[in-house]
Amino acid sequence: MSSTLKNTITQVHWQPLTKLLNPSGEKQQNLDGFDEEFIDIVDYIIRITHRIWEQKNVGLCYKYYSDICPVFTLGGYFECVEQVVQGTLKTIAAFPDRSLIGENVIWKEEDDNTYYSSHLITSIMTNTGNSDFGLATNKTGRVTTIADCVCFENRIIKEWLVRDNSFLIAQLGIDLIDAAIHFSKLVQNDTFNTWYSDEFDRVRKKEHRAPLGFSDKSWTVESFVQSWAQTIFNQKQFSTLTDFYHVAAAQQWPGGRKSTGLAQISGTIIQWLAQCPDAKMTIDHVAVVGFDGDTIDIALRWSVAGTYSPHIERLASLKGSQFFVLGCTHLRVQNQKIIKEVTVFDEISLYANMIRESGKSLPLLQEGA
Amino acid sequence: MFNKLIELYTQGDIAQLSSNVLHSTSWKQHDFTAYGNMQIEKLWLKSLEQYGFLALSKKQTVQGEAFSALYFELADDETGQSVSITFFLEHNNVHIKRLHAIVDTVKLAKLLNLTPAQVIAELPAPDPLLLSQFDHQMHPQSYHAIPSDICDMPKDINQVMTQWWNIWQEKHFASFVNIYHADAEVTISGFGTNQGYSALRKFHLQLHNRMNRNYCQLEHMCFDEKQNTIAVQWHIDGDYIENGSFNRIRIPITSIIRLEDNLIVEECFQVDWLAICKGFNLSYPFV
Repeated sequence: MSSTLKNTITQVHWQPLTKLLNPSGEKQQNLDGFDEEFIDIVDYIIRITHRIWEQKNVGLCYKYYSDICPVFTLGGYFECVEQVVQGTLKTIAAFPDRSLIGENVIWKEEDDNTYYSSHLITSIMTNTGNSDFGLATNKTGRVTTIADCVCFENRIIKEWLVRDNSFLIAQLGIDLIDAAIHFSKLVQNDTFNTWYSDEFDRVRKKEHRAPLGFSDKSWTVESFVQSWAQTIFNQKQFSTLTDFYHVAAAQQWPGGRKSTGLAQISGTIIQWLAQCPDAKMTIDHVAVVGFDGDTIDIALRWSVAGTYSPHIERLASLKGSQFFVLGCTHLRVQNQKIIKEVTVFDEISLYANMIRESGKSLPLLQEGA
Repeated sequence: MFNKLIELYTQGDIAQLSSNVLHSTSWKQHDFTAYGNMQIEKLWLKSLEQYGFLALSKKQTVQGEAFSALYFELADDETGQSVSITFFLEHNNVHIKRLHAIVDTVKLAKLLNLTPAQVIAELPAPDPLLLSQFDHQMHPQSYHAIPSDICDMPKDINQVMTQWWNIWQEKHFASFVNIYHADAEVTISGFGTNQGYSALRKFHLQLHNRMNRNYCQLEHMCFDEKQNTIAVQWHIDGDYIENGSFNRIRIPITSIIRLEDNLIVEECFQVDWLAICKGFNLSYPFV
């Protein structure tokens, strides 16, 4: 724990961009095999993201991604750097002024000499070109993304990417279910289908009844987040929110769900879980860094699987479908209570996958849905 | 930082304030959150077009540690009309991380000699907001934020602010008389300034009677010991009743309060009513 809470590593929160792009400090981590210019893993992530996306040096993906680099998203699977380059170019063409504002990088030095980074990004972008969402809307939107990357010797070798697409399309004036129907028509490769099915089965096997608590004395990050998942999401014991959240905690969830305090947070989680009442959650990765004196930042990658119980009339025919979510959460925890939560997953792909799996053809709004 | 904010509007000094803005600073105004220089500057330019270069006619500051707040009014000497803005900001004394500006857009409409509908048309599209239903009741053994949960204050100030919060959260109307000076100057966005608390009490009742299942939630507070001023960032959720139908809404509020001898002598209840009308497709007047 002490090494991960090392406070000499770059912290993004209060840093001006000019300083982040021109770090003046000494090297803080070994970073074996990384370019000498990088002083720590946060510096590496911030600067390569800026170079690829804001400076539009898409070709730098060849330098900073390994040739074989599995990228997992709920909307599809990419395996090699060529697909990353092509995907990046397509996105920049559809959203040419896309800016990536790095909000936080939570990291972990793994036992196998890799570094794990969880990068929370706010993007502002104008949809001037056609995209997977449909025709260009010429509207500007904001979206939150979390990119979890495994980094080794100057390259990203594996990535899990989640984006709050339902919030973005709400700003672009696109209907959520229409977007899901469009997405459902994208053909997925075999690797995605196998991953999706295997992950669903893995999460469903989670033993969810065993109590996983902690006391003030036995509190560790690991026990806290495992108990958070087990008690709230698996066992649905919502009165225990007070064990995890500060009474004025702020929570951001996909699609524009913004809650403050225990009552609203409880409502958000209950309403969301009600569409998958037998949901099981697994915590798949945990990273923690210090923020300030009594505050830490925790990055979680998690999965939820269960049976879909539609709350949206247009999706009624999907009742009983396999409901699977890949999600990431950043928690700011002060004195053992969450004071801020940002949870990101792709709601469009969540529904698109169930539509595709069902083999049903659902009508768009303009088709009279 | 307060002077830089004021001079943005009175002198159009964009460069000066820009030095306090990070790449990751968010600036929320009219319930729209701007990120990055391009979006934030666009908001500033629109504000300058609407009420820039007017004279500062009133100011109240709350200098806290991590959070601070500013209230000011800008007046047009020729027409006698004015506009008021509150700023609630998270900062480190060098940079602003998050700022929430609330403009009294009803006053703005009068200043610009426009109808509310015309001002609504000019406002940016508010952020999408998906409000989940929740249990709003104050059940025994349920936990709801009170001022001491989010702000360190001296005991006597905390007692006043706890009673103030109970007036809103638990509808303790009898507490008005305990914590307000008889001649307190109370300003409510869209409703003007009055002496004493009776107008605020009446407004409170009207507001709650237009919203079923309403719930008040504290977000942040800051306290300025030197000036005995307090700023509270909070909101009310509720089912707004219009033409017999219910619409779940959220009203963001910043309250700026000044105390003397443990009594409220000045209070500003700042709400951007026209942004709320735009965001939830409601008609004006709100109450």
